[in-house]
Amino acid sequence: MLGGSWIAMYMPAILATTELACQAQIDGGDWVSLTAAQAEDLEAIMAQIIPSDDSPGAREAGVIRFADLALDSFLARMKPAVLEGLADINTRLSSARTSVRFSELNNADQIAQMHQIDRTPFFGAVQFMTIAGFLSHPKHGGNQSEIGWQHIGFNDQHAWQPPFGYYDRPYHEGPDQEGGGDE
Amino acid sequence: MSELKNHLAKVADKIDRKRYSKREEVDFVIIGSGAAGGTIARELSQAGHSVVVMEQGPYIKMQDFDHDEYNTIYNQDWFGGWKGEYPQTFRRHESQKAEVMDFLPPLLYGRMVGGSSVHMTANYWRFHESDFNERSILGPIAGTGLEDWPISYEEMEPYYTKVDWDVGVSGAPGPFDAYRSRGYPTPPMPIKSSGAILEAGARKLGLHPHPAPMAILSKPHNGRAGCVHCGFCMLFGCEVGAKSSTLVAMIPEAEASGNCEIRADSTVIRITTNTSGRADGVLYLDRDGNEQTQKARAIILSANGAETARLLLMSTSNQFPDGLANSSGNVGKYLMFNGLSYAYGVFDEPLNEYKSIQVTRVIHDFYETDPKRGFYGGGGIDARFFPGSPILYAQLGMPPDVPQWGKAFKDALGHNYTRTVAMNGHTTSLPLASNTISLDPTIKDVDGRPAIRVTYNDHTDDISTMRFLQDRSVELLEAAGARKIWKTPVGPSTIAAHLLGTARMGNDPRTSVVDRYHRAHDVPGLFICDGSSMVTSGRGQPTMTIQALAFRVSEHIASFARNGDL
Repeated sequence: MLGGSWIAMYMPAILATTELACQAQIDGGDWVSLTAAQAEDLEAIMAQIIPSDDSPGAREAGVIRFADLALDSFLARMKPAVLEGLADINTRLSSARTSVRFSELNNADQIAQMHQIDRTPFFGAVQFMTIAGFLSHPKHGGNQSEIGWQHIGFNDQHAWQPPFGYYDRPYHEGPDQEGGGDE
Repeated sequence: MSELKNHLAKVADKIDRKRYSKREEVDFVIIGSGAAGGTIARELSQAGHSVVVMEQGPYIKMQDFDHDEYNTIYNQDWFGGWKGEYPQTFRRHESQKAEVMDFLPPLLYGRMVGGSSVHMTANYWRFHESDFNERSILGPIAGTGLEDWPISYEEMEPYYTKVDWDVGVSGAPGPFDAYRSRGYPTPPMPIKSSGAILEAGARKLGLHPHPAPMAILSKPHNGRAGCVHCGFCMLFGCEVGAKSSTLVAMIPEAEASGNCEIRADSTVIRITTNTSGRADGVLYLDRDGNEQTQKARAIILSANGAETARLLLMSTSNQFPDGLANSSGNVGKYLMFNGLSYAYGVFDEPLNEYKSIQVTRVIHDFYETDPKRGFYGGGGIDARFFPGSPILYAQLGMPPDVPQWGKAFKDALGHNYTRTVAMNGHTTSLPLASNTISLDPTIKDVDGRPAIRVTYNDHTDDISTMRFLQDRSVELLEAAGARKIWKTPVGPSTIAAHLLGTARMGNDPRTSVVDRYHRAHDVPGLFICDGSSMVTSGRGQPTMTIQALAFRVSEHIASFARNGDL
C-alpha cells in the first residue's frame, strides 16, 4: 500500500493524532455507520480532498471519524447516497479486474478517479463532510488536535484584544489608545 | 440541540419566575419576545402593567450559548434548534406553486426568547429623515406600493436615542447622520483590519468612512459586560451579554419589575376576539402541545414580519374571513427583505477577521436615492468577514477559481482564511403588493399551523441598486490594494433575515393595516409592532428602527391605558 513509506515519514505526528482520534470515539473503537472497508475508501477520498503533504490533512484530523458519527446522526439523510456512491466507484474499478477498491489504488489512479466523480452529488456530500470534519469543533470527532483550525490560522481562544490583524495595528498603537479605536 | 432542549425542559419548571394564572385577565399579552416584543414588555411592565409575553421558542440563557459552529449553523441551533419541524415554502410569483426549501429556509429568524436579536449582526442604523417621506420627495413609483410613513424622523428621534442608551449601542456620529439629541453611551468598537481597509480605500476615493453603530457594548453599560471580541458574534448568542439582544438588555428588566411573565415554549395559534370584535386573548399550544387560553385587556403582536402575518391570516372569523385586521387585504403584502451584495478581497497580510465583531466601519455616501442614476434606491457598504466561521468559509468564502479538492484547495484554504475581507452592500427594497407572506395551502408545520409561504421577487430597481453598490465595493477593494478580488452574482433574493412591511403603518386604512399608533385599523384592542410595521425598508439594519418604534408605541399604549382608551 502506497501509504507505507509516507506513514513512516509522518509516524510520530500520525500516532499522536490517531490516539486522539481514538479518544474522541464515543463508544470506544467501532465504526457506527460504516464497515471497515467503507471507512477506508471514504477516508481515502477525503484524504484526496484535503491531502496530507507538508502539513497534516484530512486523515490526521480524523475526518473519517466525524463522517462515521455524522452519518449515524445529523447527516443520516446523506448515508444512503454516500454508501451508494462508494459502491459505484468500486464497481466501476472492479469491472475490468477482480475486486479493487478506491483505497487500494495508487495516488495517481486515485486522483484520476477523483476527476471522474468531482461533479457528482456524492462528491458534494463527501466534500461537505470533509470540510465539516476538518474544521468543526473536535467534540464532533474530527479536527483532532485542532489540525484543521491550525491549518487555516484560526484560534479558538475565547477572547481577544486589539490589535486584531496587520491592517488595524497602526490604529491601536500610541499612547492615547483606550480601546476606543479611531474616533 | 436535543440535549439542550432536554436540559431546558428539566430546569424550566424549577426556575422561580412570575407566573400569571391562565384564568386571570392580564393587562397585556405580547406575542413575541424579540427586538419589539421584549422592549414593549419592559416598558409596560415597568409602567406597572401586568404583562404576559408569549414566546414560541425556548428560554435559552446567556450561559447556554457556545461557539460550536456546526450545531449553531448547520444543525440550526441559531433558529432555536427546530430543524425540519417548521418548513417554509417559496416561489417567485403567485402563478407558481411554492416549494419547500429543504436545506436552508428562505426566512431566517430566531425562535427563542430574544428572537432574532440573539443572533443578529447588530448593525444599528437610524433612518435618515428622507427614509420617512421618500414618496413625497421622489414622487410615486408606478407598479409599487411606495408610500410615506405616517410619522417623521423628528417624532422618532427621542426613541432612537432611547434605544442607544437603554438597549446599548456603541458608536460615534457619522457625516451623513440625521441630527441626534444625545451622543452614544459607549464609544465605537475598536477598529478591525476590515475597517482599516475600508477606510484606506474610501479615503482614496474621496468617500467618508465612519464608525459603524453597533448594538454591542464596547465598554460595560447598564450593568452589562463589554465585548470580549470572541469572534462568534453574528449567528451566535453572546455568552457575556455584550451584544444588546432583548434577552439581556430588556427582558431581565421586565422580569425584575415583578409584573412580567415570560411564557416560553408557548405557540400562539389564534388571536381571539369577543362578540363586539375586540381582541381579547390568545389561544396557544403549551410545551406539551395542549391548547390553552390567556385573556388580556389588549393584545400586542410582535412576532416578526412573517410570523405576525401568518398569525393574523390564521385568525379568521365571520367578521374577518380573510384574517384578523385584514379588511384592507394588506396583511402579508409589501414584504421587503432589503437587498444585499457581496464583493471579496484577499490581501497580502493577515487580517484575522475571525476575531471580534463583524463590522467596525461603514460608508453612507451612496445612502440616498439619486434620480440621476436612473433607478430608485440607495444603501450603505460595510466591511466584514462573511462567511467567516471556519466551515462556512471553506464552503462559500473562497475565490471561485479555487478547485474543490486537492493541494490547490488545501493551500488556498490555509492561505486565504486570515487574509480575506468582504464588502457588503445593504440596500433598499421597494414595497410590492406581489411580494407576500401567505399561508401555504397544503404544507403544515409540526404544530399543525399552515406553513409560511413566501412569494418574493426583487423590483428591477432593487437589483440595480445592489449592482451599483457591488461595483462601488469592488472599487473600494481595488483602491485599498487587494491582491485578488471577486464578487458573487447579484440576483433576485432567495433568503432573508429582514422581514418587513407585512402589516404596515399608515393613515389610510385602505393602504395600511395599523395606524400611526400601531393600532389595527379595524380591530380594537390589537396593536401590531415589529418589522411588519415598516412602510419603507430603509437601507438594511432595520432592528434599530423596529426597536425605536417599540419604545414609541409603548409610551402611547401606556398613555391610552391611563386614559381608559385601550
